Amino acid sequence: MSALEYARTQFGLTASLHFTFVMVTLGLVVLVAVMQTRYTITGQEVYGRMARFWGQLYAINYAVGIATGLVMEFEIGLNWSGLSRLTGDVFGAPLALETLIAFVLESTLLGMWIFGWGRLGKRLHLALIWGTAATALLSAFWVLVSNAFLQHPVGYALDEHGTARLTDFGALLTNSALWFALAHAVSATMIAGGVLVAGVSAWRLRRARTDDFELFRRSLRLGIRVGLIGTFLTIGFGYAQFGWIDASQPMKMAGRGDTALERQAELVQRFGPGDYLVSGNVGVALGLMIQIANLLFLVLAVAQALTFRDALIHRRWARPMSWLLTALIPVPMLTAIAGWFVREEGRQPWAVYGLLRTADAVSPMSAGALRWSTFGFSALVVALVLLDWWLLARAAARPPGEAFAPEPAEQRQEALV
Amino acid sequence: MSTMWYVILGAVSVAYFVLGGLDQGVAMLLPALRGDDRRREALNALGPMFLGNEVWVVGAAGVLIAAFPRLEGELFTAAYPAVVAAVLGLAALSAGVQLRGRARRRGGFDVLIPAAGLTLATAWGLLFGVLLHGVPIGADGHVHGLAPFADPMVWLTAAANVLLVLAHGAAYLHWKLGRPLRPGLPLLAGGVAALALGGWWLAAPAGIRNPVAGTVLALVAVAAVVVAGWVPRPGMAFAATAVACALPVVAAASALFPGVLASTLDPGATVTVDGAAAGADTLRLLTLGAAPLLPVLVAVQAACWWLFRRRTSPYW
Repeated sequence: MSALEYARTQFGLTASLHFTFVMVTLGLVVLVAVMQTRYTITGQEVYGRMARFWGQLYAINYAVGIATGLVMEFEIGLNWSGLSRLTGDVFGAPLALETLIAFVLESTLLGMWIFGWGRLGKRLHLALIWGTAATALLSAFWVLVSNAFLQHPVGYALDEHGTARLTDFGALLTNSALWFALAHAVSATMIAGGVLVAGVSAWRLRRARTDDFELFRRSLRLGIRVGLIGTFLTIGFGYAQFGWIDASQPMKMAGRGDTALERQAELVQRFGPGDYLVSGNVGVALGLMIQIANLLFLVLAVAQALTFRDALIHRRWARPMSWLLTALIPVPMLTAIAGWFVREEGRQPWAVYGLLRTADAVSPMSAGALRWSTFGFSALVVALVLLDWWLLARAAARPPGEAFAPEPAEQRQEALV
Repeated sequence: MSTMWYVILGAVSVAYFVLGGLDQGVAMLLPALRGDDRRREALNALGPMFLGNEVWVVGAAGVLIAAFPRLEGELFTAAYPAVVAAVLGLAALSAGVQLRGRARRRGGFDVLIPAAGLTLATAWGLLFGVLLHGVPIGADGHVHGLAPFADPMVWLTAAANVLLVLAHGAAYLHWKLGRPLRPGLPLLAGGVAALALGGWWLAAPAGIRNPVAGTVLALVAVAAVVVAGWVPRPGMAFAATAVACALPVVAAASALFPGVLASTLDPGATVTVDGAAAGADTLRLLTLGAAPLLPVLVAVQAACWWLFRRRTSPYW
């Protein structure tokens, strides 16, 4: 493999696996905030227990996710120095805003939230989780501002050295590649969070331990509802992107047929000689994503109907749906990876569309150096994913008990650390 | 404008060297603590601050990428092995510290965490040494080949950094837990002082433009470590090691200014702050978008230290 192929494999793997963490984090944090709000307002302990139970899963996922995010941030610097050198001025700015005002704040607030149960005032503690959720969404926003620039560069001018300089920040924020994609991705995190909560709850309810029946009954209903709404929105915002894609990236949806060959000729005229056809797998990934989303919507709609009088929990004939919900937990994540594949593989050969080719963006590294960092980082990221899901499964299986009471009478000695 | 962002980059890096150094120090001290209870207690002393400490490195990298894209590109290319090691160390440390309590058997974590702390402290020390020593930038403005990792001075800087964060972590645990630690702060402090002074004078790298400012600051840092070794109150000692962790960043930056990445091949190819900075519009945007929020960030972190000033462990 060449240095470019190593760099692409490395980044593609890190980014798609990192995104599975992001989905669970974003999806869960809003659900946890909603649960805790209900607890703060109504004072009903079951909501406090819900917030603590799911909050624990959220915290585990966040802790491991940070590690993969770190790897990714440094990979941009290490392996894609052409990107920083020529377009770093423009696309680096939103990334810096993301790290500084969103991510750093988010982590600080989350650290306080985790350690704040029973120690801080209820309202202050609630404000912390909402602060965490808001900064998490802000993070997603800035990252997609950066990504949208790579998809469809706007708001810049080239200076005498050929370096892109930012001229119009407003244009970055009104980028046609930004808003529908952001809404699409955020809705997809709702599916991931909702299906995770519903799937785990269905599993816990099947195990017939009644202590926490109420906790998981309410979680199941909430999870299905949020997942269903999320799927509806995700599908809508997905199709809404076809307009700009066709206008700005004519090759992405063109497939490999006659249309594609026509457009290849057009693009050669526009950008000079080169192979502008995209991989045939882009079409496959797109079709998969759409089909899975439609099926998921159908399944969740039926599950929603089955929550009437809790048939899903009490009726034997509804058991298959309960199993299905649990089996569906990884599906939103895998579908999202297909979505990223369409968005990122579908814009090749460009790193910044029409401006910088991927081959010119890669650092002048030897293939040998990149091979080692690819093995190292890939092994690390894959290990982190496995560790995350192992820990999540263990935490989700924890027997119900005092541990999740929001205001324990005595100070607990059990430790996160 | 670029100077202002250089100062902000410095401030964020200082925050990381002080706070992240704390995490690395405590991580490396784990093997010196006997028994799971003691180790858990030490990690819980970091507790709510841990995430907040570690994120400054993400912030520093963010400022570097956005405000100084050229510095980032050249420095990371030249110091590739050190940066890769740092990233692996960061990932292992942040996952390890936060997940240790969730594992049934802690043995693996008790090896992983100190190893990650040591890797990180060494890697940052190496990067620091590379910055002081300079990198092979050619007349075309790009780095050719790796930084001089064979140079013993670069490794001496790394060793000094390891000792410094060890002293820092020990001072913190003494302050938080109220018990002195065995490795002996004075001993460490003396080691750091000797290494730092010796390294500074012997190396005298070519890229240094303001030897006086750099030397004075380095001496103050050394003095702070010495003070940390002798003051009786653990809180004061911790404050002193914090100063000692902060000053090397300031010292190096002042010594190199207005250069930032010295060239070992061609003095004319040295990257300056202005030359490394992003365009004026980008910096203005960053100034409007991020600078007003930095005080908020500092306030939130300060609130965190204050709210959790007593010993803590999470409920679950």
